[in-house]
Amino acid sequence: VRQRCARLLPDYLRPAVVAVLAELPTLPTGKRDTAAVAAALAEHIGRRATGGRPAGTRWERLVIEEFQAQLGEQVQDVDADFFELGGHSLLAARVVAALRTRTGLPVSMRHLLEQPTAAAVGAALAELDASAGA
Amino acid sequence: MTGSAVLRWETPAAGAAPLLVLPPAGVAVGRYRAWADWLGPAADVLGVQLPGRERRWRDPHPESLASAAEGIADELEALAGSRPVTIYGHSFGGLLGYELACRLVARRAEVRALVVGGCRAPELWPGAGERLLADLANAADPWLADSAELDADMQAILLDLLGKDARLAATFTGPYPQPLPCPIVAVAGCLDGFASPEQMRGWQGHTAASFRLLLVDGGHFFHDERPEPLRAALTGLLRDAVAREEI
Repeated sequence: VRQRCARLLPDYLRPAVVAVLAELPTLPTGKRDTAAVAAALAEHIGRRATGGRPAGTRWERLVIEEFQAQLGEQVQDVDADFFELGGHSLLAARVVAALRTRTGLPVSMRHLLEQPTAAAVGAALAELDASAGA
Repeated sequence: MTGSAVLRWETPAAGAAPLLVLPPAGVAVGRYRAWADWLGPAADVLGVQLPGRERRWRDPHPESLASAAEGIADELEALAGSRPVTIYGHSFGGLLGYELACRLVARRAEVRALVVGGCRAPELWPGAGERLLADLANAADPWLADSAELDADMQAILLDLLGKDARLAATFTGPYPQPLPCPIVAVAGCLDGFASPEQMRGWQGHTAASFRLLLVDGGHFFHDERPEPLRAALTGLLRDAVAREEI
């Protein structure tokens, strides 16, 4: 959506916030309930500002950096799903390869596919590091 | 974690015609999310994700091509409603697209066109047996073949997935005697070692409407390497579909 807007619209018309709703709330008449949409957006903004969990460990920071490098955009939340953020399996392979090069740890595509979040991949790296040191 | 079999990444423009994309064996559909932008506002791009890929990594593989197609048809109805769908399937995705098209027609859903790329005619799939996996592996994704990212582990994952898709292709019980009521467009890469233009001509016998064989430069992955002729063909079909809806 952002890419399409960036191509079609001047920047002052581009939306700053994009949220996905399961369905558009409607009034009993069938018209869109704009007040309910506004409330849902406000909730989305609030959650993003406060609830998005930033990277805590250095492993999580590393993974976030590689997610961002492949996705070409900021990633705020360590619990965000790489594939929902726009990632696909070729980009995932590049993330894993970069993480292996940077850490020297045998992190695998399987780790990312099992749970495609920076938190989970970060935890896998921490565990690999601990067992490499032992 | 269980994912959907049919994905829509972008909100379609009003009146856009649904295009269902079915990727080759061993390939996840995520890389085609860019097609929504690439094909422009006439297309409502929907991607088919089989198990073992991306968000469907943990989902069990379907038991047969038929059950895979039924599952896709169910989800497609929910997303595309009664709008006639154009199907693009590449290689193994073309065979699955044919199976799906036959089932949609049996459900009285309208298929606008079946477009197959790098995909042998359906009568050439049964009986390929063990050779099929070797053929598919030989034709495998050039991005992976010369990629530094392809370590032993990735290779094992890819081969496992190719094997599962090849076994799925082996459950194909067609081709079906009744030709499809929609046009078929076969797009063949001149240098394709998996599906040569000759091996694609047989698609002609499976439509009661029009047939077109479109020859393009490139090998099995022409849709990734030199996608321009394919884009022109698809956007042409979709614009026709949109124009017909508006009449």
